[in-house]
Amino acid sequence: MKLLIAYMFIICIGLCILPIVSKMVMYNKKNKHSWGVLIPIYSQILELKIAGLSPWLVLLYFVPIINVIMIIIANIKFVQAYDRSTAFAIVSLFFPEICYPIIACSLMEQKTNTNEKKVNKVSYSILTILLGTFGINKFYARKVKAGILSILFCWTGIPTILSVAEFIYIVVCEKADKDGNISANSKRRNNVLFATSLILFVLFILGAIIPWESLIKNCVIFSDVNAWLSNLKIADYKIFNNIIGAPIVIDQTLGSTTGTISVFGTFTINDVAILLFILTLIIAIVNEIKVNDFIATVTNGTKKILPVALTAMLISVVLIIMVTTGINVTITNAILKLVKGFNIATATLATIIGSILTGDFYYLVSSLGPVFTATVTNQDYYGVLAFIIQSVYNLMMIIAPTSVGLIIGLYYLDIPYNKWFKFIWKLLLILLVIIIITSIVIYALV
Amino acid sequence: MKKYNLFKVLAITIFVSWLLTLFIPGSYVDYNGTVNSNGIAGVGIWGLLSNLSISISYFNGIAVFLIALACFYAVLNKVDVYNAFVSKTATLFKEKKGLLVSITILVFGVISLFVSDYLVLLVFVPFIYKVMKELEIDKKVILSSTLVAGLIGSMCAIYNNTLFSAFSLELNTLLLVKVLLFAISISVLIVLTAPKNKVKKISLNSDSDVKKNVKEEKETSKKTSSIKKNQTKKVETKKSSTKVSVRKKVAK
Repeated sequence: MKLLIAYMFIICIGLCILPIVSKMVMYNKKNKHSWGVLIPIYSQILELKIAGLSPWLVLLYFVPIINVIMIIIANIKFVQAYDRSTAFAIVSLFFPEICYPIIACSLMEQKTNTNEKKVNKVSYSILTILLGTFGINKFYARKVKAGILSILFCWTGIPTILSVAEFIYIVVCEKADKDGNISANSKRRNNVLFATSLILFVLFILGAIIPWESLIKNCVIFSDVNAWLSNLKIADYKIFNNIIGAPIVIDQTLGSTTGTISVFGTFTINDVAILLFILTLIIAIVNEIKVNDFIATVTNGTKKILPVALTAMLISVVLIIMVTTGINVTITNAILKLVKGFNIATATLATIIGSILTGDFYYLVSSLGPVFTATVTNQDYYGVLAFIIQSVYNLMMIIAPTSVGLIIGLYYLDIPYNKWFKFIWKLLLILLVIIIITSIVIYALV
Repeated sequence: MKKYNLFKVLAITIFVSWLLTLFIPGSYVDYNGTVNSNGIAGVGIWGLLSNLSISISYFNGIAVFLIALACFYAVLNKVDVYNAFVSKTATLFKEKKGLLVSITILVFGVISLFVSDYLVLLVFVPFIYKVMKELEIDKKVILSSTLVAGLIGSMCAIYNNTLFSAFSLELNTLLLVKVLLFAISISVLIVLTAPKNKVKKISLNSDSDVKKNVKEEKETSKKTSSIKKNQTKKVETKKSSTKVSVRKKVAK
């Protein structure tokens, strides 16, 4: 956290200093005193001179209302003096922290005869580490799409991490040419950035599916982040809720939950799917895949996976039959009733059959859990019982034809079921024996 | 052809479960915890087809996830960096297939220990598949090093919201046992599935060994050449005999 605050502090200082330094470079280019930027009225006079206006117009800066018009005109003319468009000059009025560094850097840039785009190593490095979060370095390198993406996702912190990685790579690995320039489109640098993005994505997915708040006591940081995001307002307009989506928040008064974006650590398959869709689009934009190519690729990918997806849904029919009719309850009850009280053999057998018939852990526990608790009245054995249900269920999913994961795997890898059975039965048997022995040991200790 | 086998199994499973509804009465557990019988209520063919549409409407989440995954990897495969990364990873483990499989098993297993839904880990399977396919690792080994490893992790998962709330358990319940079981199970999986890199060791320390090898090679080449000669001779004799018989027939 301290590191983040320190980094934000550096960015703020950079935002203050950069326009001043940039103006110094700009003054110098027009053979004016670069230190003049530090002296208030003199700097206005210099700007008027560069803009091709009379320096006496500086007096108008002291006349109310007119001074506003004067500032606008002088600024536009000043920026236009560096071969920039009127639109860019108008933008520079509102974002001098962005526009002046771009002009200054382009002045420092040495254009080569070849088609390869080059940027000044020092300026690019400084822009990357200080303003990379907002993609200013990308705009400087004339990579407009990448710059816009950085601005759009600056709130996620991803551009910040990427710019730190890029800065380290430039400083450590890239050598400047005689003029102090480096390539704007270095393939190796792009590869490093792409690999960093993929690693970030993998880490994010892993972080998002591990239930931190359940695993660590008194950890509510991610719920707090969701609550903070949902209360993020400009005036009365909930900016995050309306533009990005409503984060899931527990209503303290009603005790109910509202929202659609899960708390970090409780991401479901649906959330990961949304992330994948977004990332697919970003990869396509960054790698400049044409729209037609993108559509064709996505369509082909969907065509290939559709039968697998349909098969995965098809197998859920068994689960629906079992849950709606309650046959699995009858079978489980009959097996458990073979012996009075808790018995490891019957509990294991009931779980094996229940798992195969149900195929889904949530429905297995919610439909058969009450049957187990009705038979096993002694709560001391609940630990062993839960252990058997959890381990045997997952074990059976290695081989059960109702296992969604297995069906997807077999279909995707084109493995016949009988060959899979022949391959895996030894492991299944060994693990079942281990589970039963472990259950007996736990039972004996209880 | 292989996929028909899978469909057969699925069709049999659905048929058996449908058949069970015709003979076994359904039951439910009431609020007092007693199991009550509903009587036989067969699903019927119409009901079976109706259940099909219900399953599509209820379990479309997995389909959306798979489509997203397919789109993601379809685009990723177009990126040179990704393909280069895959081939580099493959070359890194070219002589160490067993190590790659063991690492994959461990990573998938350990992650599943903490994750509530192992199916999310399917995100990484196409990448692993591509790397292992380049190394010509058996598909069944690929499946067991990803899916089975994930299931073993879930088998010993430290936290499971559904189970813990149903049996009112705490986070530390049987924690040590689960970790031990995980260690044993994952070791068994590695031993049974990881391919062994058996490299034939040829000792070429002395000149005599080299001479021996050269002699052996010569002998084998001689043998093969003699076999080939014999075969060609046989073919020639056959040809000549057939020619003679044809001539005789013509003469007759």
